[in-house]
Amino acid sequence: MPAIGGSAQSSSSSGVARVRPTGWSPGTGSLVGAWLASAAIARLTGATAVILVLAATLVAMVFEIMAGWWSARSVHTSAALTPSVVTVGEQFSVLVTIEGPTSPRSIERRRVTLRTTDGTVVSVAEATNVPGTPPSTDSITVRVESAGVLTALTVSVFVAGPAGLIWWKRAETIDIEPLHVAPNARGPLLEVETTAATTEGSVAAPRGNHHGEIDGVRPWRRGDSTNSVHWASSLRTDELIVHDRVTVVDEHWLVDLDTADADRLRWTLDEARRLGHDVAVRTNDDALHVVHDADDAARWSAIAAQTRADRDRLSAPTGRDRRRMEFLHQPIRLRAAVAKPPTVITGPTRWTAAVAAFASMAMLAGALGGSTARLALMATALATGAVVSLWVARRGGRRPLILQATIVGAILIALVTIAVQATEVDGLLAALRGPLPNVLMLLVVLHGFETVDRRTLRVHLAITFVLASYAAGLRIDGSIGWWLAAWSVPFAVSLLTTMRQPGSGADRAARPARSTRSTPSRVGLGPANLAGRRLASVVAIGLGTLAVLSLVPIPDGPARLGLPALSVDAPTVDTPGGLAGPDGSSSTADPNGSAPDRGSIGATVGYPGFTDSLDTSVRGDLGDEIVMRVRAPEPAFWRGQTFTDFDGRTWTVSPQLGQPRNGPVIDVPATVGDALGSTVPSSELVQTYFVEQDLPNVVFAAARPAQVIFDGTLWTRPDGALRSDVTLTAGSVYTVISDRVQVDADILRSQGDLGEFFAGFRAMAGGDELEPFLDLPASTTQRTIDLATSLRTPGASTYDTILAYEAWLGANTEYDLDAPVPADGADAVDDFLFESQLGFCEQIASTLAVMLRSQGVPARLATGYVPGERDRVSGVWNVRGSDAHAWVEVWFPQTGWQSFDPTAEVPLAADAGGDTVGGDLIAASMSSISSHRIEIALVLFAAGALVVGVRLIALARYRRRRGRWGLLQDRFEALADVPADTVVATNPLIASTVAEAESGRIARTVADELDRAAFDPTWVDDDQRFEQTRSALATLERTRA
Amino acid sequence: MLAEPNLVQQVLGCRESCVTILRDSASLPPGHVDPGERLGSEVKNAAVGADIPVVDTLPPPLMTAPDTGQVADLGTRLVRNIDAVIAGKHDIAEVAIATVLSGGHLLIEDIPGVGKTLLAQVIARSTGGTFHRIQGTSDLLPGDITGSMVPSGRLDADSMTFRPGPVFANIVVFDELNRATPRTQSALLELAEEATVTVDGVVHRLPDPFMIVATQNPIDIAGTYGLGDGSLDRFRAVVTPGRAPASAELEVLTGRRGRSVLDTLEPVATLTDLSAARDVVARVQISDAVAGYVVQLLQATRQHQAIRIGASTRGGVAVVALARAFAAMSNRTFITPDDIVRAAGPALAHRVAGTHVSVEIGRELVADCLAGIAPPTI
Repeated sequence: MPAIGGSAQSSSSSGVARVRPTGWSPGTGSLVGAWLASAAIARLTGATAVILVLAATLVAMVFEIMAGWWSARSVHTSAALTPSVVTVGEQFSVLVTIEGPTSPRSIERRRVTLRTTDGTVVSVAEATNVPGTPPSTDSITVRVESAGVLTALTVSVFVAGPAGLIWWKRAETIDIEPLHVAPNARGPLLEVETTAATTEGSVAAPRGNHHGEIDGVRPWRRGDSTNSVHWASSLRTDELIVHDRVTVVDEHWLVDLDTADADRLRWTLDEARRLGHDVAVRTNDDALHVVHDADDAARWSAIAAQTRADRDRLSAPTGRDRRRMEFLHQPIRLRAAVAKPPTVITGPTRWTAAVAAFASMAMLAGALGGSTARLALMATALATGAVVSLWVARRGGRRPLILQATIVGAILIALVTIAVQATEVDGLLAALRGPLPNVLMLLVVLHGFETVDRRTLRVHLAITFVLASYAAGLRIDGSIGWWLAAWSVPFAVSLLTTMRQPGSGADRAARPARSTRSTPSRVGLGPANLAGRRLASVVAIGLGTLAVLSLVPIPDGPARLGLPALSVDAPTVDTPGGLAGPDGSSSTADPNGSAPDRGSIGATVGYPGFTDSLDTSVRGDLGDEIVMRVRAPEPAFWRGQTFTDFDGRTWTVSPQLGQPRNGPVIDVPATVGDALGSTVPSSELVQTYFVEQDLPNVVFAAARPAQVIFDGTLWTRPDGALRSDVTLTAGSVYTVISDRVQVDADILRSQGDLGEFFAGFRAMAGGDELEPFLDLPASTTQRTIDLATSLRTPGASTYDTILAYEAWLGANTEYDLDAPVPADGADAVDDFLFESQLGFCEQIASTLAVMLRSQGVPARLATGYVPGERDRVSGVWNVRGSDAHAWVEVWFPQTGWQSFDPTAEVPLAADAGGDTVGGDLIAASMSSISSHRIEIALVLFAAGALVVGVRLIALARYRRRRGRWGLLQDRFEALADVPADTVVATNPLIASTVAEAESGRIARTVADELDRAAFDPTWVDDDQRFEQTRSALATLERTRA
Repeated sequence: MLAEPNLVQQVLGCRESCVTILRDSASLPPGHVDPGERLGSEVKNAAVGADIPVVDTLPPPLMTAPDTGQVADLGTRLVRNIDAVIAGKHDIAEVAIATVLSGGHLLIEDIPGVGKTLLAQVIARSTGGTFHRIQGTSDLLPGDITGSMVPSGRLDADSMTFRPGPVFANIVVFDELNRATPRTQSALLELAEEATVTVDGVVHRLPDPFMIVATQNPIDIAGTYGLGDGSLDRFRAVVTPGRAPASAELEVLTGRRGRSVLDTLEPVATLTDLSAARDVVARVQISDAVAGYVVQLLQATRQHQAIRIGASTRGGVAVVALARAFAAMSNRTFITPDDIVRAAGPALAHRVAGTHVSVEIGRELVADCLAGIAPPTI
């Protein structure tokens, strides 16, 4: 406390409050950078999983900013206590009451700025957060370095969101009673107007001598004689105390405030008091003010200093110069100890970060096929890093030389290893899979040793963010969702606990234990409430993420730049341009051989549709293993081959091989029937094929492939198919950019009856090219043609005819993989349509093709895969062996070959796509919910029953613990309508608020009985009293209702 | 001087000890060797030692309910007497009477002219005891208040006789206590604590009941000797009457209340009544839950940011003693948290405020501490 003055004022806020962002915590930039890097990864790979992470983190960041803003808004500086007079350079305390927010952890810094009347800052003091529950009174020690009168005080509270990334400043200016900062007294005396006014007509004693009657004591001032020291008081107070004397007035001193030097003024006024003169100051308006005591002297000198400063300011130049002048005149001098905000991280936070790092690394290693030993090595390295960094943090950030040397050595060895690895790398994708992830992983491990404070922890988490996004971009298997969860939970926990200060848990434990009898209703924000708020936040972030995702379209494949292509140790095909099995041997079927036994091919990828000839009665057991994954935004047929020649039993591939073209970027020319220059718009469909099983050299592509990025040589065949000169081994990756004409039902229908169109076309232009697509096998029976003709409505468009055929096939035949083999020499179509009426896709598609050809519509058979099942998180189509398929392609003159299939539901090009990531996710969850209704209902019921059961047990235990009187007390408290400013809500006070006049007496009686039951040691439970109290309380409750 | 919080809890937390210590310190009337002081010192010793010898030597708790009806009557009469003279200060009157009934000393702190001295005088007159008044000045010496040896006029061994000072009265009003020198203050407060005066080796017992009502003026403090923390701790309660409301001022100016009616006031109690009432008050019971509440309050004052030194254990004893009086005045034989809330402000405000801060702020700080603790319920 100041030696003089010391009266304190309380003042309310003047209402000037602003909330503005003030910046971010160290390390936040790295998180933003990691987000941008992930966005780049998402753009390059088109991975839905990365977009998921991006959306979730974006929403969480917005939430963080909003939460910080909201917390800052709830901060209110309600009062400030300051002394009234202090001296320049003297330390004094300012007591500030800061209320809210509910979580004191988020307040890290409180700053108090003292301003003069004109707003010039004269002192800034900063203090670290003092733990305590709001409302809290903070004592801030400040020191003002220039004299003047302060009337306002700005309290700036810095508040962050739960993760402490973005800071908001709440600045509140509080008007205070004038705080006079007096200059240090300094001689010599000012010129004073002296009036001899002694009552006896002469000066009683020479100047400097002490004289007069003793009138109490006061602190020693310069100039006091040692003779006047009051030793008893001095010893008691530990400072020099002297006798204060009054004399008969002998001199009047009059000082002009206007002209006075502030420091000399104080000296002069003090001197006058010391000498026992009557002294007054004269202000501008000629008013005289008597100076009563030393505090008055200090106040007047402070006012003089302020007047001088104001006058100087008024005469100073305006604008920028003026500000500079002000700055020169009253430099801001920080004299309060500005405490550095704590940067320590706790052990649990560090370890959760290590877990997040491990999850991201394991995810990446899994994408690249890392071994268990490698994972164990990484885990060990990360754990060592965590232990070492925590040890370093405890040592105050000092690292021993040996540790630094070890780390540098490890870096060098690792870099050399990676460099050696990199020399064998060929191609972009190989680099993306080899050295680059290794460098990233090395970075995480090494940075783990440096993660000692909040900034480095955030950087560390940012690196794991990049790593996780990288892995999510590369990974295409189904477990990516679980891996992302395994990474994101420790990531979020670590980030959210970064701001936790060490020992805060211990503080909680040390808080005075509440009486076990106290009820939660009086406690305020309990832990259950807090947990509820956290749960609500998580749900809000989840919903927000879904909302954002529902605006993000499914990524349309990787960007053109950086399309990956990779073939792994593939066997070369024996005959260039010919077909080969997965082992590279020629797979041409023996044309003279008998029809192979069904199922004899047997292998997962041994689909006859990928050989030179396709016997419609053969399918084989293709198995359910995933043969490839296709990353594409929308579903399409992944076409392998087309067949034009049909002999009634077997489709045969055209012998023309086409042209070999070299990769990696191969432009595929259009073939017969492909629509070129169509008026119907087309769009690009980018597909990346990740081969999972060794496949033949058939290169799959959605119709119509325009460009292929392939690490090898491709044969572009005139029938539209693509063959490579090596087989596609597991691990190969290639990309196809297809040019899809955006057809829909109306466009197809508008092209009319194709039979008539092509008949007219042939009549005009010959049309030899059409013939192969119209050839009917010799064995085709008349009843087949009759059926086709009868099902066609004359004049209807071919599209409708096809739908009619499909409908008839759906109604009159059955899909059956065990359909009987037709008799030797029998026509397969006839057999299927009229004999067995059982068949699978090859027979159905052949039938459709023959029926269409019989009506003059060009059609051919295509084989390949149906889109497969979409993994919603990684956004890839999982194609299984059993997804091998045959379907019909019909030549539409305006839009080209169009696929039709009665069995597989693949939408038309214009109807596919246009979906968003969020819509996709919601649709997927909806479909899985609807397919597991009973299980979900059971689980929900069980969970609900569990919750209800736990609540019931808790309630029963509570009731037993509280006893019957305790429950009455709860009911009584529930009635209370206690005003907000009540300090303590005791029973009599509740009673006084409960009711009006007539029931007030009852309320008091109830309160008395409850208090007696609670606190009277001689009290004995009594049924009668209990019943009386209970009925009285019931009366009260009725009155209130 | 401040015991460790956990030690206080250890001492006050267990049933027998806290009930007994808190009861006993208030129950034994002053005028003997002060049990509170004795207990206080032994509590400190107990805090150092492993076990608590105090508990073993004290009688078991009194379990018969005291007759608080008479105390309630007496309290009502006394408060009504004060209300008859000093208008609009009912709360202050209740605190003052509770202090009287609990056997403590009262400090009245306020600006001049609000009826400090009058309040003290009314208390004295209403209780019907002897009444002396001392005006504190800087040249007042201890002998001036205790009395001193004066020549008796005889030449034998009794040539000097003891002439009792103004403290030899039931109610002693000490005006402007802070104007007296620390030496005199110490003498006064020590004799207040001991209830005896020793002059020239002879112990003179002060009358029973004995109570000091001191006043002091918080402003115009130049040339005064502010009471130290230790001295402040001796007062059971402090009240600040504050300015009277306008209606009350009207009644004072027209002579219907104020000093003019003081002479017409009749004592409403005898000293015997008062002693009996003090005995009853001392037997008001306190449950563990409420005692725990007081302990929490004491700890809260020690942990509060704005309080330099928290309340002492004696502060807690004062709270409980005052709460006992409040309980008895409400015709209750046990203390409720409400009594504690009422007693905490007057009993702790001057203790947490210390020498340099006004009692008003002290009271706010106590309220702040109270607001942070949930009161116990059944």
